[in-house]
Formats: sequence, C-alpha cells, structure tokens
Amino acid sequence: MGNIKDKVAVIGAGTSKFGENWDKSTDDMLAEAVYCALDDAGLKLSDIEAGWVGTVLGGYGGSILAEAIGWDLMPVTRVENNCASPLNAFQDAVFSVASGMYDVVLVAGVEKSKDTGTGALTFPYGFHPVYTYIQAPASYGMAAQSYFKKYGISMEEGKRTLAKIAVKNHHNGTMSPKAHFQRELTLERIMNAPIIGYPLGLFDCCPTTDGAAAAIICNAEIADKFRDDPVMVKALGLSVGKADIYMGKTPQADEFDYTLWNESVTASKQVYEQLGITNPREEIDVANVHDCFTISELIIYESLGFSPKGTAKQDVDDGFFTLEGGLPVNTDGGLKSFGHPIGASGLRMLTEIYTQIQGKAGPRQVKDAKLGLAHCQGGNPTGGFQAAIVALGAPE
Amino acid sequence: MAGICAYGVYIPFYRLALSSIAEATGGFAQDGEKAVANFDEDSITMAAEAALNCLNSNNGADRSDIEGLIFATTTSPFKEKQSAVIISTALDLPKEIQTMDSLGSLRAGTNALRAAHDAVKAGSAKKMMVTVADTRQAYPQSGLEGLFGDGAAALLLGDTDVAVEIEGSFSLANEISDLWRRDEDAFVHTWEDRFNLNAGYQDTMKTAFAKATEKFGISMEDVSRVIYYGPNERAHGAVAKAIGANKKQVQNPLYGAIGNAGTPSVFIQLAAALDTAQPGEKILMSTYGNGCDVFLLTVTDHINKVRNSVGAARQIKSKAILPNYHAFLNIRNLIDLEPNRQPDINTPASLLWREQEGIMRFKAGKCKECGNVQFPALPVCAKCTAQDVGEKIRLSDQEAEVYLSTVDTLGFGGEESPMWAIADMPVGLRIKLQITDCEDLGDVPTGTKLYPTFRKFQRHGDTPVYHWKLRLPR
Repeated sequence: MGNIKDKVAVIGAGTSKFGENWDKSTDDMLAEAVYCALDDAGLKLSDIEAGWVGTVLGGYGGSILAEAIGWDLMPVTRVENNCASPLNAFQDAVFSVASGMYDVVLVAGVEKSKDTGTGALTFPYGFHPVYTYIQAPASYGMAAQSYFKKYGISMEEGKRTLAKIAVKNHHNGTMSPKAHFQRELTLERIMNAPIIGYPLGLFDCCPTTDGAAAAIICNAEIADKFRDDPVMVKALGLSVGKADIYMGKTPQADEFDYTLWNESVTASKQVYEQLGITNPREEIDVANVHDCFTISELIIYESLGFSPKGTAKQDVDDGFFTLEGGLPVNTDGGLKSFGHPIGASGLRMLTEIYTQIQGKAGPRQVKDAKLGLAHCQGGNPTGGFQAAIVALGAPE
Repeated sequence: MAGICAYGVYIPFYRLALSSIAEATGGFAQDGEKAVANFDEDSITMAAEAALNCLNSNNGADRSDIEGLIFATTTSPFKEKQSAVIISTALDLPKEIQTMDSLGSLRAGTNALRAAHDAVKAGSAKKMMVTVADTRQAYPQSGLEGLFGDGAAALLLGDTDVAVEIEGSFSLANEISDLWRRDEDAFVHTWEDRFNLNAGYQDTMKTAFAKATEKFGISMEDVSRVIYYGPNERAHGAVAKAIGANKKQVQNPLYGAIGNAGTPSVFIQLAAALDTAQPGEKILMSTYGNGCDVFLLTVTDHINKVRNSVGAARQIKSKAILPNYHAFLNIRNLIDLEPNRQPDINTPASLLWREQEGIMRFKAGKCKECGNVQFPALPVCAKCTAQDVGEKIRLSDQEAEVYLSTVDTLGFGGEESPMWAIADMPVGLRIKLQITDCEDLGDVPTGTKLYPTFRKFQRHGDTPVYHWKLRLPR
C-alpha cells in the first residue's frame, strides 16, 4: 500500500441543517451543503472541475448532484457503499486529485431518510427477499449482549455505560447549531427508555434524519492559494466485509463473537500504517466515529485501538472520550445528535474534524487538535461491515 | 402385506381457551381448548411438519424410496398451484416422484390413504407418503368456531417393515349438503344441525360400519380400538352406540384438547393410538364426509421400532394459550390491523425457483476443498475461496443451538416474527434465522436447542413464499 499523506488538502467544508427536514428535498439539502462548502472555501462553482456524490437511497446516477446545483455536462460520480458511501466518495475524489487528473473537486453526500413513512431507517431494495436481514437495532443489541457477557458486565452496568456515551454525545450536540437534537439527556431517562432492540433502548439508537454535507479538496501544493488554514488529508482506510446473508463459518465467523468490528480494525490499521503511528490512543487528538448505536461507539473504541480490548467501559466511566478527556470522540454530538442521513454522515464528521484542526470549533474546540479521524461503518454485526476512515491533520 | 411403515403428527403450538370466546362475545363459556395454527402456518406447512415428524422420528425412512406424496386437505392455500409438490420439496424428497393433492371433503385424507395403499399394493410405488392437514375457518362467533381446531398427521406406506397392516378398506358415497364451502366462501357453511347429524352423519356411519364389518368378516368384538370422525363430542358419542362400539374401544377424539381437526382428525387419533397400541391389535377406522371410508388395520411387531418420540400426547401438552379472543382473530387473519409501513418486497417467483434448493429444500453447501459448510450455498467458498462448492447438506433435520438471540421491534410485522437467533448446527454451520412460536420474547438464552420448522414466509406482494424458521422443542 502506498501513502496519500499531505498530497491533497481540504479547503472547504459544510453541511445543511440536519433534522426532520419535511420542507426540504434532496436537491435543497445538497445545494445548501455545497454552497456552504463553497462559501467556506471562497470559491465559485465554476472553479470546480469534477464532483462526487455519496448516497444510498438518493436516486440514481451522478445527476443527483448535477441537478441539485444546476451543473451540466460535468464529470460526476455517484458512490454507494452503504454507510461508508460519503467517506468512500471522498477517498475516490482524493485519488483523482492525487493522480493529477484534477486540481479542485467537490464531494457531497445526502440522504432524504424521512420520506418513507416509517420511523425506522428503511431500505426499499437491495436485500435478499427471503434470507432477510435483522434490522440494525436488534443486530447491534445482540452485540451488546455478547460484549457484556464476554467481559463479565451485568446488564445494569452495561446499560449504564452505554447511557454515558449517549449523555456525552447529546451534551456535545448542544453546541452544534446544525444538529438534529440539541438538548441534554439524563442517564436515567436513557436507561429507562423503551427497548428498540434488546437491550438497546430508544436513546441508544441514533435518530432517522435528513441532511447533506460537502467538502472541497485540492492539490496540496496549491492549497495556500485558497486559504491560510488548509487541512491536509493524512491517510485513508477502507475495508469491506462479506454480505449479510452469508453466515457460513468463515475464518472470520469462527472467532467472530460480535465484540470487535473487524472491518474497522483493518481500515484503521491501514490508516495508522500511513500515518506511521503505533499508539492511536496517545497520538490521535480527536475522532468522530460511527455511533449509530451506543454499543457501536463502545466497540469502535476498541476496534480503532483507542482502548485495549475489554477496557472501553473503564475509559467511558473515566470520561476519557469527553471533550475534556484524553481523546475526545464525537465532539459535535455524533450520529446521536445529528442523526444519520447515510450518504451525508461521513462528510458531516469530516467537516467537524476539519473545523477542529483549524481551531474553529468554538465551545467544542479540543485543545491542540492536530490529527483527527472521521470514521463511518455501514452494515451490521450479523453480517459484513463497510468501514471507511479518513485522517485529517494540520500541514507539517 | 402393504400398510403403514411410519407415522407422524403435528399439533400447532397455540391454543384458544374456548372460555375466551364467551369472555369477548358473551354467551355460554365452554370448557376446553382448541389448537390454533400460528400466523405463519397453513395446511401446507403443518402437513410438512407432520411428514417431517414421520421421517425424523423413525429409523426406517429412506427418502429415496418414497415414490409418491399425496397431500389431503379441505383448506389448500391454493386454488391453482399444487400444494403436494411444495411439501415434497420441503421434505427434500426425490424429484422423480408422483405428487397429488386430494381435496374437497373431510374424506380427502382417507381417499388419499386408499389411493396410496392401492399404489403400494399394486407395486407402482415402493413407498408413499400421505400427509393430511386442515385449518378450517368458522364464522367468528358461530357455533363451529369453538369446534374447529387445526392440526396435521402423516403416514408412510410401504410393503416392507410394515408396522400397521391395512387388511381391508370399504367406501360409501353419499350425496348430501350438510357441510360445504363454495369457491368464493371463506367460512364453512352448514344446513340445520338435526338434519346434518341424524340424516347425514349418524345414519351414514351406522350403515358404513355395518357393511364394512360384514365385508371384512369381523364383528365389533374383534377389534380393540375404533377410530372415527365426529362433528362434535356429543354426536361422536352417540355414534358409538349406533355402531355397537363400547366406550373402551372408542379412541379419544381429542375434543377439548385440539378440537375437531377436520380432515386429519382420524389420522391424529390414529397416531395417538399407535403410540400405545400393542402388536396384534385390530383397529377399525372411518372418516366421514359425503360418505365414509372404513379401514381395518392390524398392528404388527414392527410398531415397537417406529414409535413416535414426539407424538400426539406430547405435542398436545406442549402449548401456549392465546391471551384472548382478539389474539386468535389476529393470528388467523380474521381482522385487519394497520399494515406496517415498511416498503413492499414482492419476492420474484423466478428467484424462488432458482434458489429452491436453499429456500425450500433448506440445503447448505459443503466446500469440496476445505469442507466448510455454508448457507446458502455459495458459488465460491467463503472460507478458502475454492470455486464450485460440491455436496449439499440438508438442514431440516439439524438441531440448532442458540449462540445469540434478540427481539426486533422494528421488524416487518404481519407474517414476520420479531425474534431472531444466531444459532449453531452440528454440521458446522452458524446460521441466522427467525424464531417462531416463541412466547418469551427476548429470553431465548444461549445454548437453547431449536429445531427447523417450515413456515409461510411472505413479506408483501402475492408470490407464495415458504422458508424455514426455528422453533423450540415440543
């Protein structure tokens, strides 16, 4: 594997308002996010040479982006890789710039999740009609049971630790004006919420939300032309597991006990190799990770090497991942506060890491944030994941 | 002599306490219960379960010898499309097989038995499976509602290792409109009770038993058990007297336990009888429905080798009582609930045909190179990536053990179960399946034994889908 470090810079990023955007279409939200990113970069649409759009349910083809921003006859690529779609789109855009093909390109992601008529995230196509999948909350619920059992954690203790993650993320979300939810939640309310997928309750799950996000990237050599504080792409990781329906005891499945996300482990190893780091707990300053459920975030701490296996509970109890802790995670409130418009989430995380590294995160600002990760993880524990990670950092 | 080589039975897990009908609708509260098929069951799935019970509970059944399968019911889920072939596929019987549906009257089961017996006797089939099921619907709050129960039974016929010889058969046809259900009717219609029971049922049974015993050259004293259909307990009791049978001879018709199961009723009674019958016993058995089919059966020494370990008595005891009448109306699809707003998935018929080895026969693939077992069978081994996965392994007779389970409250509703299991099977497979007939939602602990069960599996749309779930041991 090669190394992408410092070849490409992020010079603009932004998001739409996230929420139940009943009055906004896919086009409306994409345009809002793209113009937010263009304004941040101080660029016009005519400065952009090519575009990528990540979405799962958002329609067909690159025209999703072209139509939203009135962009005709341009090279636009649509990327779908489940919840990894937005960061996967970003990575492919980075490769196009690093190859020298383009100098300045646009990456956007969008999901209109609230037009389905159901409260739950809904996938109208793409799954086997008979060998059906377990909906995500129940599937992650099994992982929580397995994790608690493996590490001798009682259901009460386990639920309390998970609730602390939700408390943290909701607290951070109060400082994010574009988040779906901007309110504190108490530990008691979280722990006593109705069960969605045993043992996960309502507030262990992220909401179903509409939103879009975008970023502008350019060749690192010309980044200074656009702004004083460009942020560098430091490393990229991508790992995809086998599909949900295939439950044969593979080498992975033999040992797979739902307590570690293997795809996130391998994607992060790729990233750490490119970064040349061996102790991410100490060397990463800030991370925004895929907290679709509180248990996902708990296991992500161990999968990304932030906590040794079996110790994430202790770290949560110690406040290690809070804004004041040793490694702040989901500083903007995460999926818990922003919700999870699938095609947008990764770029929303990336926007936060970009903002943190620029030192512009206001009340959420992590001190001396020089190196940060954005991490998306699609799929669910009873099948294959799609994990994508982007490391951003300050120029050297 | 040709006869019954093995037998199986299936009583669904749920019961309606007859008192809960009166609790909801007023009127006289009856004692007893009736068996109720779950929302994901129909006559096809129950007939498949009974036949699997027959194949799995006994040593003798080599599937390759079975050259015919007859499915008998008055409640075929299809007006056009053969049900028997669905069942023979679910049982993983050979493709070179005669399949047939026997329909239209409560004699459908004995019509099938006689045809199958004749086929074996004539040497045109080595073994024949007859599987009989019903899920008859009565008008809500009608007199029949408390009577009709659901159930199934199966008999494997052959001319070697015979456990029950069929010594004779006698049939009588009788044109009468006492019970009927026209093509467009959902519920059974009847004429006046007194006409039905006196001019119809009792007179016909009396004549049939008299003529049959004469034909067989026996008297009632020669038989140890008499098994026969009865529309209800009282009429059934009255017939005993009319045909000259004493109380000791009359097999318990199981009213109050499962109800009047319709076509399979006498087969379920026979299965219960064979669990305790001794070699040498003679049994008279008759159905009723536009006439009678009477059989003279003799139990042989072989019966001790094919006793059913999960027989009628055990399945009658293994049950859950529905909480109320509403729950009964709901699982029998007699009321419209708000549909789930999940998107429609109309399963392509072409996919079901293409993947029937996995979906219907429930066969996993075993890699030729590394021996890894995987379900569904893959074009490339998930473990060693060898192409061309070879041997297929049937999973319907595998015992599964729960690794993890959970409730999915966001599930698809309707015909989808909310319980899921990740379970291990002895062939070295970890599989993800729904758990059905499960009362303790959220409490199916690791290590719990579960068994595959053939169920209706229809998300939305009109394509008929049948697949496998897991259930607790009975």
